[in-house]
Amino acid sequence: VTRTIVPTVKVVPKPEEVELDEETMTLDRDDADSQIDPASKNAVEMALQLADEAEEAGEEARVVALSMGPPFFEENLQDVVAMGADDAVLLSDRAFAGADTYPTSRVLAAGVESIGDVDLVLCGEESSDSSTGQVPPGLAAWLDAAQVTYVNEAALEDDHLRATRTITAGEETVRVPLPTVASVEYGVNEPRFPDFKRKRWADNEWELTVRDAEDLDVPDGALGLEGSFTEVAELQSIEGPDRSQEWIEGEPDEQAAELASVLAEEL
Amino acid sequence: MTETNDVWVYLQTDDGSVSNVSYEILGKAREIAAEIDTGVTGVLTGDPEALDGLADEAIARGADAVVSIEDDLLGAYRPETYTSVVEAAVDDGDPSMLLVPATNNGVDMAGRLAVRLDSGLNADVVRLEVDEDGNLVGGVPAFAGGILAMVRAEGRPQMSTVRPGVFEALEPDPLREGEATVREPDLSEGDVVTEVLDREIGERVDLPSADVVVCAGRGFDGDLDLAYDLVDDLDATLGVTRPLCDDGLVPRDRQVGSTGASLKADVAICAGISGSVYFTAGLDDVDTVVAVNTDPDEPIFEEADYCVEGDLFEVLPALLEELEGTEVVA
Repeated sequence: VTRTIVPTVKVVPKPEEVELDEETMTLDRDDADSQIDPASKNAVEMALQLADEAEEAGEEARVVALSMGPPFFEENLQDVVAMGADDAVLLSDRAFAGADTYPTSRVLAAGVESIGDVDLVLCGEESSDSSTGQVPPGLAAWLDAAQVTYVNEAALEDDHLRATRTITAGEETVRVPLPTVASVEYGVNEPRFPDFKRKRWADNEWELTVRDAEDLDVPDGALGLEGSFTEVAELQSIEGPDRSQEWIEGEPDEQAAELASVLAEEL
Repeated sequence: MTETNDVWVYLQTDDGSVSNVSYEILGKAREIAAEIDTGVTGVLTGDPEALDGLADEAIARGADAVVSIEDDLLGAYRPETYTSVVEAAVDDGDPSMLLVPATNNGVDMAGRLAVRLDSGLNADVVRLEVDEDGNLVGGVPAFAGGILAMVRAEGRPQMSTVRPGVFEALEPDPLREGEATVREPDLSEGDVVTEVLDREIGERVDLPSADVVVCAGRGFDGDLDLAYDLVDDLDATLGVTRPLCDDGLVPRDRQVGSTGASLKADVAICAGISGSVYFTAGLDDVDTVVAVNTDPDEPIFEEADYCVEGDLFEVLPALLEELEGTEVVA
């Protein structure tokens, strides 16, 4: 058996570099550097660990990263390959732009199908820029696959995924048949650093597979902004409350005494 | 009549009771329904025993009708069974809006359901409105909560997942009347894909309902004993910044901020917290904010009513001593 594990990789603008134009209330991401979304990195790391475990158990495993976005994402996918992924596929077409979670999950599902015989898709639980968490279950719906979201621990066993997921006030352990789509909680592992030699190979010799709308055979009207079922009506800035910023001076015990009387008054 | 109520609320049940966020959404749904001149239907899913009495409770909390989808196979949440039975109910009832709690299981189901229904889905909204065409518009916080994207959903039903703790649940009115119907879905063992092996539910943390919150950050150097002592003395609830959850020090349901809980407390005491916007976005509705930090230039002080420049390991023990001398909490 060859296990095929596909981590999906979202590339996002660094949040601190995105500027809001207060006059037009639009976001300016043009000058922002991009990075792999932190939760996606956890998904990549989990994919690599599961592949390592499968190989130790005498199975073959390949990790193929999947992303959707403009051609310059190649650089980020080279990093993923340098971390240890065997290959990567970029779904790239102007027609994909402006997609909400509905067409995004549809295009990603078509991308998974184009890779073929995929056992496990691993996504980040939610991205740092839009944090909807809706793509992983949407992707599972398109693939008609089992799904396990908010996973903090996972193992492959006998054509199944056994995973522990976080739920309100607790966690549960489930076992689902492959193929499965799982979303990985942010921060559950320490993503490995790119390997220096692999990075050189990824940058110079490895070739990224790029697929466009025609390759994926998704109907025209179902893509991007046009295929989305949500639309941003407007952006509003949120003004926080004015705080009185009263300084409590003195030695710690004097500060504590004053704090205690403040609390007595406020409670 | 069930069929004529256009606003549906998915009522999430955990262990025999409806989660409070479901009632919060039910309360808000009443306003939405009034604007488009329709009623509110609550949707319950579970095994018949677990759902006993919950329909009446939902009616008392604002539902005009309740559809209880009952089957022994619905005892535990599973994405495949819950999605398919709710999908079938929506197909029959044809609501124009479906609101779902933005909890892990709510998002898990709503994300799958939206694709099956070809519906627009707004995620994790903190505001809900209806535009002049009667479309559902949800306010989605973006970029650390400094911006609210007002997003219009299309399709039928228009869907939103709604953040817990944002809207107010109505006080139960036992005299409210509504129509309760039971649906028995066509489920068999063969429809079950997810095997639930183990489930552990701990203490439920309800940060948005807490009157007093002690917020701890990295300044505690991983040792939260002082924070817990203060929590005990003030009968408060512990909240933390995201890094403490990421480090596994406390569960994620204690996280305050744009990707965690929004507080509505009378008082929040923030110690050892620098005050990134990701965290302070959760303080906007707090009446009084107290901050303790060694560095007076940290941004947390801009978000505080009372500012204490000092070492929390000196100030908090002194405060504990003060509090033990005087009974602050009635």
